[in-house]
Amino acid sequence: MFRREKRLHRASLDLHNLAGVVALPFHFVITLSGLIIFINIYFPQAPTLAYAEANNPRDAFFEEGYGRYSRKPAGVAGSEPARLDVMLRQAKARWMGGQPFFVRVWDPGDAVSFVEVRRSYASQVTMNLDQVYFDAATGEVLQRFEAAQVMSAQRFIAGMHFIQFDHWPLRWLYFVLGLSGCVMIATGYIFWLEARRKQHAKLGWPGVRIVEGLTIGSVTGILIATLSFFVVNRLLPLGVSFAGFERAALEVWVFYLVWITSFAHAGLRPGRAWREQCWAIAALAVLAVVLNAVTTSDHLVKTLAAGYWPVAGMDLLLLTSAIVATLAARTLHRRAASESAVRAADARRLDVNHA
Amino acid sequence: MSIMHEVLLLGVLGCAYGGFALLALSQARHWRSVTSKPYPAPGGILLLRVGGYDFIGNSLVLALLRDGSSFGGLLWATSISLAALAVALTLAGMPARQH
Repeated sequence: MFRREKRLHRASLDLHNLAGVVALPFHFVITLSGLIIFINIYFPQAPTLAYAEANNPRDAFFEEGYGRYSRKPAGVAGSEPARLDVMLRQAKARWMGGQPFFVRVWDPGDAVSFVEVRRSYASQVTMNLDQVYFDAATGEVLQRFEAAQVMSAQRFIAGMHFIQFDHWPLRWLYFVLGLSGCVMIATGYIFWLEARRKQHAKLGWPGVRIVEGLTIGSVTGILIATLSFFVVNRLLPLGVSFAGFERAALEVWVFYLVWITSFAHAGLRPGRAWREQCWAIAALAVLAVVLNAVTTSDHLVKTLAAGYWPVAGMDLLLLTSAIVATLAARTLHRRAASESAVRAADARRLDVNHA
Repeated sequence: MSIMHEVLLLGVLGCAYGGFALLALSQARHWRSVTSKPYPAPGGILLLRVGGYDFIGNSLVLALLRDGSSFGGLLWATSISLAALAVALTLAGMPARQH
């Protein structure tokens, strides 16, 4: 299936087919669920048809589909609010032990203030829409909602996409299969390039050069941009703003500016961009780990000893990326060196023949 | 999480990998890349194939036992993709043999 001893051209096609076919169910479901999640954007007029007899079809659709409750504030001060813990206990009983994760008090202090309680989806795939609304003053239930069957199916499909649940093996499986999608895209680009490189050079077409720049920018360049985002996140002081942009927006600006620069770099240095960008990935990944240790004092020794996996896992993956990028850069270096040695030998032979 | 959960997870992944490995072995090219023993007769091939599908099926049963229908189904569907990838990469890592 994958013949690593074959030439780049053939081996990249093997990997492309393998990554694409083996993880096809995953790629298919992720894409399809992405479409189904945005049903309201792709079919904006559907409620008008389905609820034609309602006064306001859109509102009727949202009320029946999502069950959101609201009422206008009275503008008069209300009495002391009822006890929240009693409301939460009631909601839990209603959900057979399902946990509330979201509590919102609407119009606090108002005579018709009410409390919204939503159910957590940490322990199920379905991103449920279960909610209970209480009158804030009396603690009386105003409205309970559970999604109907079709909506529940839509929420299950959305849950498969968003993986908001608490299930570590599935999260890792998603991660690896997502990476296989990256392999499929990168090898697809390389196959396209290698299939046309000689022909385009002969005909003087710019196609391969343009696509190679786009490829490098979207394979290694986006990694550099992401790592720059991590680094800048550690470097910028809290509360900083520049040219009217807040800290969070500045991080996003850095991401895009670095990404655009990586495309420019790839276009300007076609022969060397791959390995130079690999070196940049390795350096930035290590820098991100070091800066996190310095600025938060959560270094690997501490996080590993404490079993603080969210941070330790991130650091370990960054270091793994740095190692992989270094190996890739060194391999590319060796290959470039041996190719230029062959070219030099050819050139000498030509010189000898001429002499 | 109990230790049983981790054992079942290993079972899900192990059965999926074993199943795809048996299916791969039922093909002459892969059989020869793994062993120099003669390629089995049709009866043996059938046994490998049935065994392979059986293992993959067992993987589903273990996933459902571990996590119930919704998480279990997802766990199985993603595990068999990973297992197939792992088997293909294992075969790619085998030294090329002379035929």
